[in-house]
Amino acid sequence: MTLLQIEHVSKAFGELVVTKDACLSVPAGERHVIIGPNGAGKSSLVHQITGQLRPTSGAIKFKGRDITGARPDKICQWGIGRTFQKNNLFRSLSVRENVRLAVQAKCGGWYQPLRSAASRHEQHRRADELLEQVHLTEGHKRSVSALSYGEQRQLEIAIALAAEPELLLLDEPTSGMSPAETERMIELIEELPGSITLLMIEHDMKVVFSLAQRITVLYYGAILLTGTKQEVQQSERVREVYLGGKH
Amino acid sequence: MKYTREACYCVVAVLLIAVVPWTGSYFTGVVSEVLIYGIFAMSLGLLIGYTGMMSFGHAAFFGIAAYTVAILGVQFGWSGWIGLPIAVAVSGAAAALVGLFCVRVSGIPFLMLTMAFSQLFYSISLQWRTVTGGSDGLSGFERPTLFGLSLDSGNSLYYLILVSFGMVVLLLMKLVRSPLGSIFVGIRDNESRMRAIGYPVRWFKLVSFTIAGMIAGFAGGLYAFFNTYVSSDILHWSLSGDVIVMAVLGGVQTILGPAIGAGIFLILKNLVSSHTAYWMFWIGVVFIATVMFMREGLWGFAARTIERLSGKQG
Repeated sequence: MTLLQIEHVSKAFGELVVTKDACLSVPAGERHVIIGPNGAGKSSLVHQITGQLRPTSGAIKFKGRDITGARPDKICQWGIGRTFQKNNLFRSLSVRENVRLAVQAKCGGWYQPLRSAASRHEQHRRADELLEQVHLTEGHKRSVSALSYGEQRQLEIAIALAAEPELLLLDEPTSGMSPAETERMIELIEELPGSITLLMIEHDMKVVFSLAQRITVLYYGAILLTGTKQEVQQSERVREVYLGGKH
Repeated sequence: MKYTREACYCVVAVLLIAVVPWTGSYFTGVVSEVLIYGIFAMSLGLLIGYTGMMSFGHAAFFGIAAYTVAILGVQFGWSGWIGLPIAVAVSGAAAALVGLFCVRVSGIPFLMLTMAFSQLFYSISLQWRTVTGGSDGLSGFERPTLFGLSLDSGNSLYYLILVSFGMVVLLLMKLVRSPLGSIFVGIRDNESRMRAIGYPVRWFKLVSFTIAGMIAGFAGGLYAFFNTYVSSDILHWSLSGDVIVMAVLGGVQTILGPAIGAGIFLILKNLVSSHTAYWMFWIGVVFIATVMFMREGLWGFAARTIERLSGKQG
């Protein structure tokens, strides 16, 4: 079953075209990685899928439903979770509250003005479970600023998982990480349940080839190629613009 | 040292309940005014400190409620007890309507838009002479009676205001710790992430704006009880500015901070203005010193210091 269908999507800021007639379909359960040189429009494409940006033309369908230009909160509730390239956390709150807020977004009970949020044990239990899932087991009461950079990247994923997404978009989960931290992150992503479809942006080729089932190569906003690892490695075009080029 | 904070609260409560009423009508009046503006400033604290919305038109909802109580009382002869809940409802409706436009933007545009709307209400109060009395204001509101006790006599009005203040403090303390309050705090902290995890942020900003408008309206209604006279001054943008100073002075990320800011502001105003006409200057000095050296406001700073001394941090 096709979970995500991107049909002839283009996005332009005036003269600058960041997405050029992109077509891509991601079947349920796939681990799909988008690669491309800096400025290829990878993040912009993710922003369009999750509603932070509205495509200029084309359509994005999720489970057959047209989600083009819908609000981010709606898209999240329909089952698409995401992380951000730069850590995007609630910096003045505790680690646990960061995740609990996301759990609460999923569970509802938003309008209780007088009940204490601290008494919502079920949500705290679920938050702890998610933190365990991303290997953040200690210091739930710490504030986010006390976490190391790598730990903050892990927290990013816990928050995204709280929405129980069917499709999870990871925007460079290992960017800025040390090799040891990158190892841990790969392990963490491999452990994610198979029911979650992954669409991931990644720079690190080691990560790409260890995680990806299929790869899409973006170049100046256009999709150059979508295929298996072997197809991408053997493609002359890809080699030219990316693998053997400036990188 | 463990109960320092609770002990402080108790001392202040005893002072307010048992001591202030015996200090004579002038001082009781000053404290009443502080408590009313305290409620008003706390409602703005909910917006600025807990939801991250810098409103520069908050006086609108205070003023609308005060006018509602006074107009219903003077023009229609309705009791203040009916007027007060209606005033809160009218303020809430006005806040919801104004908010509908304002929450679409944030930052400076939000600030300017809220100010523009409040000036709109200000000019209505000036122009609609037959109802509002125009620039003369509206006098002659008669305070209602409470259990057969006139609010004009003794300290009954003071106690009414004190109980109201206590109720608002409790309500706000509950609110900011509740699931709804946690959503407001999340929006303050990171609006775009709140959206990305599935919260309709604009809607909750509107909810917060409306709640704050209703609480400001409650303060405005009490102000009509207290003053028995309303004029367009209470809708002017300068009052919106004053209440921001009060809230920031005391500390917006605490519930009581803005009320304490209101106390300092009004007591300075009363004390200093009897010696010099430049009382604004001294408030300015205190304000600048607070913003420069105690970013979290006077009460925020004091609360943190108490906490540190009693070793709760760790």
